[in-house]
Amino acid sequence: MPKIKVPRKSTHMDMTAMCDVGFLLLTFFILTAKFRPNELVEIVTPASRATETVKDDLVTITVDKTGNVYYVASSPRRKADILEKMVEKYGTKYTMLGNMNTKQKTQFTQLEQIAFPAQAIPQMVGLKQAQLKDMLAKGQLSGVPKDSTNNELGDWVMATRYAYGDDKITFAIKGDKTSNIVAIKRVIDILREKDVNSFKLVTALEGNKD
Amino acid sequence: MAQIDTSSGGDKGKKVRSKKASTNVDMTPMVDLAFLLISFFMLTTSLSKPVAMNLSMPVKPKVEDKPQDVPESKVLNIICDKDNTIWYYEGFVAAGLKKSDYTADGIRKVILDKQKLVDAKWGKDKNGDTQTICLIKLTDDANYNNMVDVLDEMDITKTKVYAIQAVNKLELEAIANGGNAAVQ
Repeated sequence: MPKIKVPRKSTHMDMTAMCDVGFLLLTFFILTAKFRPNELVEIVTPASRATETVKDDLVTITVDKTGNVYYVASSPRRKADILEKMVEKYGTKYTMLGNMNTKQKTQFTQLEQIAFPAQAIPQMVGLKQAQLKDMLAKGQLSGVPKDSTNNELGDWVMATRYAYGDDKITFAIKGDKTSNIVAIKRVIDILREKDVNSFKLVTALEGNKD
Repeated sequence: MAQIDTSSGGDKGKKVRSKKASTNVDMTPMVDLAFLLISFFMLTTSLSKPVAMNLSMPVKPKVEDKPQDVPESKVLNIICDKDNTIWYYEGFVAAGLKKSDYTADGIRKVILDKQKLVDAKWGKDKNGDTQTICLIKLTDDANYNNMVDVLDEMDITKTKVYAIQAVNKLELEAIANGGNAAVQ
């Protein structure tokens, strides 16, 4: 009896398809990844069960560990409008602010956040993010004033509301885990004074805590 | 794939055929590389998507507004104090404050127990939610994490009616006194 020959099959596989999938995934993940914005202060937000993801057009009030407050308006166009309102209010009091030129105003719209009193805006707008970080490390930035005697934060909120007009506007508070509650309460109070009674708290997605 | 071309060779004297080079390229190393890169990027990216929780505060009361009457038996007061401690008491009188913490056996159990009592007495509301009212108070020594944690507990225990309020003097005295009402 002749032996039945089992035909030998090649062990090679066509890898082309797999290669395609691999690079497709790679491209996808790289293109969809978003860079974290260059934030002035390192904020470790507390974790919560909330699952609603943050939209980009939030107006964020950041409260850092020491209780300093930073104001982050969203788009450059809005920032320009907001600045106009602030200049209207403080332009006569701080003449440098009132006499800001177009270049300074453009620079203002590119600021990541407002971390200084309104009076200092003309000097600060030209600085780069790295310089601001340096100043923050040296303790030269005190954030937006929020005392009852000099409530600039409230003015920013008001200016933002004017700038947005009838458009929907969402305020968010972003606090550090260890932020003292007094500063947070003060910010909430200011928002309430300006009739902003509903806002968001920015938190991190909670892991398996329970 | 890189098979050996066996078609050539054979009889001599026939036409010399130019060797047909295979157009197949071995893709295996390329696949290796692609997946290596994918795994690298996936593992090095920190997945820290920020999320947001909604918080609605009541409109600042006007002078002519009358405060709403709330049955005392529905109320649970939660006071966040320093070092992640919680004090709680039921009703309106700041006496007999008890200590608790942020674990699942801590304040969550307290809230759920209170809900059972309230449900037994008042029943559920028309949406099927508990009628318990939690008053959240934060002393100046609490931190922001405590506030978010308590608000989270409201979500977990499905407490729909809660409010953040200022701590009053009697409560502070009671806390200083270890939970008992201060001697008048």
